[in-house]
Amino acid sequence: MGYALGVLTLSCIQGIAALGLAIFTGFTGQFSLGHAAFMGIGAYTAALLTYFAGVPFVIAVVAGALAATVISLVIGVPTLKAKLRSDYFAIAIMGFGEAVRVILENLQITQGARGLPGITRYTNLPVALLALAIMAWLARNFILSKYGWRAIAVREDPVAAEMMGIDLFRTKLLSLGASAFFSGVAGGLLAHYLMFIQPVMFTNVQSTQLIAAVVAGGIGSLTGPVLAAAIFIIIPELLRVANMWRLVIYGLMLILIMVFRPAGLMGYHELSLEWLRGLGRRNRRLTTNA
Amino acid sequence: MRDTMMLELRGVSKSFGGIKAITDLSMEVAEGEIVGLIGPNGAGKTTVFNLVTGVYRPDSGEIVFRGESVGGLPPHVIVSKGVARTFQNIRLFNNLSVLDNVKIALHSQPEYGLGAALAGLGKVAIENKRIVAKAREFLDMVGLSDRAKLRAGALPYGLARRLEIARALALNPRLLLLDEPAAGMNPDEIADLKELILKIHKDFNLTIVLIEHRMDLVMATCPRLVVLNFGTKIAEGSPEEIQTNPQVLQAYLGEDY
Repeated sequence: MGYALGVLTLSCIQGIAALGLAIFTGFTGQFSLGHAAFMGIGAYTAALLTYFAGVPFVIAVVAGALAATVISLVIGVPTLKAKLRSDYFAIAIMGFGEAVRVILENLQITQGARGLPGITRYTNLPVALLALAIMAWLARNFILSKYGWRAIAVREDPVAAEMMGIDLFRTKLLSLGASAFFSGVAGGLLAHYLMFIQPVMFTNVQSTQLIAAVVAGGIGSLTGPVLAAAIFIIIPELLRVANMWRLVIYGLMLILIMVFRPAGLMGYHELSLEWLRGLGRRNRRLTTNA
Repeated sequence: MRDTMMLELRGVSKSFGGIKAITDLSMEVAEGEIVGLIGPNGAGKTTVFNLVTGVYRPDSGEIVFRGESVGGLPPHVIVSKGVARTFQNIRLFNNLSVLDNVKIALHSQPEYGLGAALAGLGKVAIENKRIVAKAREFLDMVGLSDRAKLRAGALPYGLARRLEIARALALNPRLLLLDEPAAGMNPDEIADLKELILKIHKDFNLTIVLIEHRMDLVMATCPRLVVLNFGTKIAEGSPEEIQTNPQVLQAYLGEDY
């Protein structure tokens, strides 16, 4: 039982990080292969604050998220100002992510590659669920506001967006900052759930997991990536019985999603009763045609 | 000065690598005018629009919009000063609804900050509702209100053009640049488009520059034409003058017309 709760808790945490990347990739159309670094910054900042300074948990998590946001702006201003095309930006931020890992491995205070043990456990399933709910609500408000409209316009057609008077640089930077904040929150929660963090947790592997969740979950959707993030945590756990085939099935799952739902599980839609009913209708129509 | 100038180009040049797209071009557009910008393919007409809207930075020369030099400013700044355009190859937000296309053009109007937006305050919803109502007015104007919920990419050609114009109008421009709005339209659609252009010119007190190959539309809407060929201005005047101008005939029909 404790094990199942643990998997769900991790799913919620990963869901928060996926929400952040959904804002940046799914709604603003910018790719990133380095968002794990922002999780790492959030995790280490929050953990160091509770561990050494005895800062209250919630404040530490928020401080970690803010630290991730500030760092994201530091990397975002020069790269986005240089008008790097989306794929080049993704590579630039991947290099940045590696740099963050190396720094974490070499700092005294982070205790290097051995990692930071002995963090107090404050995160449990109710805390993670509550955090997910709050962050999802914030993401929804952002997307439904004029800031979200601008982001969507940039994703759909940057040239046309500019001709609508939208400042591409500021729009992308705001989305990057927002997504880093979400990653930071996820990192802070993760540190206080696992009670131990080390730099290797926040590498390309984790960044790829996040981008896979956003793409498989669906561009232009918030609930889709959360769902996909949870699936990508839960399925490998269920497959532990078939240890040898785990990664094969994981890869197959990704391929199947992209083949049968190229726009992602929930591309351009949100999980709602209305959507599920629509899905049923569509499927019926398909069968009558066939 | 006779009238207030809306737009002036003074000796503007622009080349791409070794190719001179625009050479020493000077032209003026007075407030309230509808000016036709015509010329053979590759004459540099769209480049003029790209220069005026800040997509390209002029190599030399000055672009003055309402008395202010705007050459080389970023597009979003120029747009905010009151320039709007449509594209030769329609650029709608195809995956979004017709209504959302216009809503996005109104993005600078809602009065709330980031904090209020994140907190989901009541005024955010109220402001958004106001914007949607406004967007619907623009759709009404171009006759698209019954298709507000449709995906923009699913619109037939003529209606997509109309939506692009509605979206440009929503920016509340002083100067509207239309890049081949009649391309691919049938005669009925062109007649409707003519009505629309004259209507928005009057209702919005607009100044319009129109790039167009369909001479029936140009003659019916533009009292004054500017003719480009190989990036330079070869003629300027009323449609009657242009039709008999030997240089223009040569540009369109060749040496031995």
